[in-house]
Amino acid sequence: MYNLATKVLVVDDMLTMRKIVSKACKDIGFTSLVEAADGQKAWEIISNPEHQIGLIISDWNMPNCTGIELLKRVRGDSRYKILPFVLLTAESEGAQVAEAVKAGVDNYIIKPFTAEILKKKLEEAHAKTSKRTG
Amino acid sequence: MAEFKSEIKDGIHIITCPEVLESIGESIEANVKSWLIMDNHIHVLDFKHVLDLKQNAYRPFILFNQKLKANSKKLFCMNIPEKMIPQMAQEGLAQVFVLIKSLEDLKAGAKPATGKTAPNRLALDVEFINPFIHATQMVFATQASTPLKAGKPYLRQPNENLPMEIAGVISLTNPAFTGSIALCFQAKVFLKIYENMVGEKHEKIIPEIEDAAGELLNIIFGQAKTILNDKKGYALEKALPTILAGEKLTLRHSVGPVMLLPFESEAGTFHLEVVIEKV
Repeated sequence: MYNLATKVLVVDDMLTMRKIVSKACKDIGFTSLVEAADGQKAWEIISNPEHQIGLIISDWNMPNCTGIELLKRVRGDSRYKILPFVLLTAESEGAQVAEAVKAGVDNYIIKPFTAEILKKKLEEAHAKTSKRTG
Repeated sequence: MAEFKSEIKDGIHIITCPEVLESIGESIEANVKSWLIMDNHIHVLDFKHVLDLKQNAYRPFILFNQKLKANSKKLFCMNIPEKMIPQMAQEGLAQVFVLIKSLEDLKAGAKPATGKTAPNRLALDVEFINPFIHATQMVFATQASTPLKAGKPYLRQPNENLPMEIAGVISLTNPAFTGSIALCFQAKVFLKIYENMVGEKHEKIIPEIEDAAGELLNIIFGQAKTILNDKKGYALEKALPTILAGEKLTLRHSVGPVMLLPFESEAGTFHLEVVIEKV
């Protein structure tokens, strides 16, 4: 599992969902969390060196900059090529999942989800990231 | 070997699954081979005895479903234990294990597949409505710890205005029709569901909590859209929810019959409205 001191960025346009994800992360033991309401605001936080984001959990379907656009932006910047990125989505259509995998997502969580599922998906993402970085 | 009980009722092949569904040495594959050579167009997996669904059982059922589909046949499931529904959704199995309430429900709405997909058609029927009912039950059980009992859907009467104080609304768009779905609550019901969902208790609806109505509907739409697009050939487009809130709220949908789907829960009753009209 990730070091629990890792700073987690939770991105969702819905305040309710940000609360649910942040609470689940706190219950897992993460101590440092920051939230953003869309992909554009998230990018401003990620690219600000003061924040040192270590894990992104982002919704897919958001106004301004969607989760997949944020993922592509993150993976397109050499500084964040291995920054763990987990997508939250209410849809599990095959084409959408394939697009996320191609864009370099570390894992995806299909809504609805429980806190236990979130933890399991983060563990899987960590295992994948660890394998990738050796 | 996992012991499946196989029987035919009214032309439907019913497979009653064992308590533990797992594939040891190709035990499920061997059964699948025998089911595939049957003439029946509709196969139903009955989960009434199942206590545990192992990951190694997914693949043979996914292949079973694919091969049935290739031969214009259909696979459904019934009596799936509530605790397994989040597992199935999370593993992307909702498209394989398409849930029906009962054989009667299936007989009323499903016909043997013809091999033709149904893209862009206009139909406020069981095939279109059921994914919304199942998605609503699954979403509330998993995301809001609120099990639901679905009531009988009916067409809303012209002057029928059910009391509501908050609603999430999503526009439905595909090349052949437009429409909308709305998730509608009275304040006391919404507040209890919000408490179950987030763990915060509120005495009245405030702007900070209103988006929960939209988020719940967004997840319901996402689940139903996956089934309707991937499995049934509809081409519903993505959409973001909007929220309406206020005392004595009424929804005026565009022209078209409004199908009302009522739900009961320990938090109280609420409903989903579905309306579509031809472009």
